[in-house]
Amino acid sequence: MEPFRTDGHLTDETLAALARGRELDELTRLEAAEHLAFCDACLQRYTDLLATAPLLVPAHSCRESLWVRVRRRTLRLVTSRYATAAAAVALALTVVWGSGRLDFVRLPIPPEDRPSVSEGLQRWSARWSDSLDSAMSGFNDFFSGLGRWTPPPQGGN
Amino acid sequence: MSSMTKEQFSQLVVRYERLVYTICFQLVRDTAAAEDLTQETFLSAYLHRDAMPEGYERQWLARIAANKARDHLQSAWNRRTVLPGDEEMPPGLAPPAEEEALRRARAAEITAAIEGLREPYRPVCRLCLLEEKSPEEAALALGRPVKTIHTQLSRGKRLLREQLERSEAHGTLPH
Repeated sequence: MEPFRTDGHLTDETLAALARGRELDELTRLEAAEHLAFCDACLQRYTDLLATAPLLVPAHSCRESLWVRVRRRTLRLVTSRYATAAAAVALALTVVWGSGRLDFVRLPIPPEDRPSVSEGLQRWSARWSDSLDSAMSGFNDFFSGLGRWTPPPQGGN
Repeated sequence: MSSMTKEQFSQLVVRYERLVYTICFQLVRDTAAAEDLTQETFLSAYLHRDAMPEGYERQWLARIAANKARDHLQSAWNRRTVLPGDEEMPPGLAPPAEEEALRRARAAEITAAIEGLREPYRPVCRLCLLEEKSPEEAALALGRPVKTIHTQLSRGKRLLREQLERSEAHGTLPH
């Protein structure tokens, strides 16, 4: 059986064999899937054939597990965005720190009372730590809110 | 259909789950893989539900299912038959054995071998190997995605090499 016609479309036999569940070799199924993935005409012919054939029933419906995966994927996207944002902030701070533009770290102190470099660093890291704590508590509130969230009852059984 | 709610999408799943599963199973012939691909199909559909064309949900889901099944089959096929880096190989960068086989055969013999290839490989190899078109140009000429052209060209070259090697071994070439 020729899987393709000379014009490059799937033959009626191939589509019928697929739709009637007849065994086709792996390469033919791969070629058919590659073609159906872009050809509107053949996909229409195939789904028309399926409309007149009994459809298969999966042993395990995806209806319940689908929403778990949707939630997980959404959460992953959200956390990934926060991680990217945090990395960008850290990188920007590193660049600014490296270029010596963090003037706010140094306070206007008379020369005789100028603190040592380590004192300045300590002060700056304490402020940085406070800022991080407040940001993290915001994140924690957000995620604990998500944890308490329960989906509304699903319709369409 | 950007305003589709979770409730409405659930109804879509109920309505088309069997169709999607049937397409996946008929292409991959494996129940566990078909169930997984069915879920993948609806997951993709949900994440891109804003792009769902109203009134064509059935075709749209069938297309996603065919794409998922294609990726699954390609991955399994490539694991067994394609060397790393071979699948997406641009023309002219074939492995030495393939290039060597092509060089050894005369131009007329190569043309005959290409014309002897079956669909969907013949027009792709004719355009890319004989007429020296780029995969992008071949994609445009044949109305196929560029990625599909790359895949078909790679597989076509493999078929061609096997055919030429077989012909050399037997001292005959297809006409």
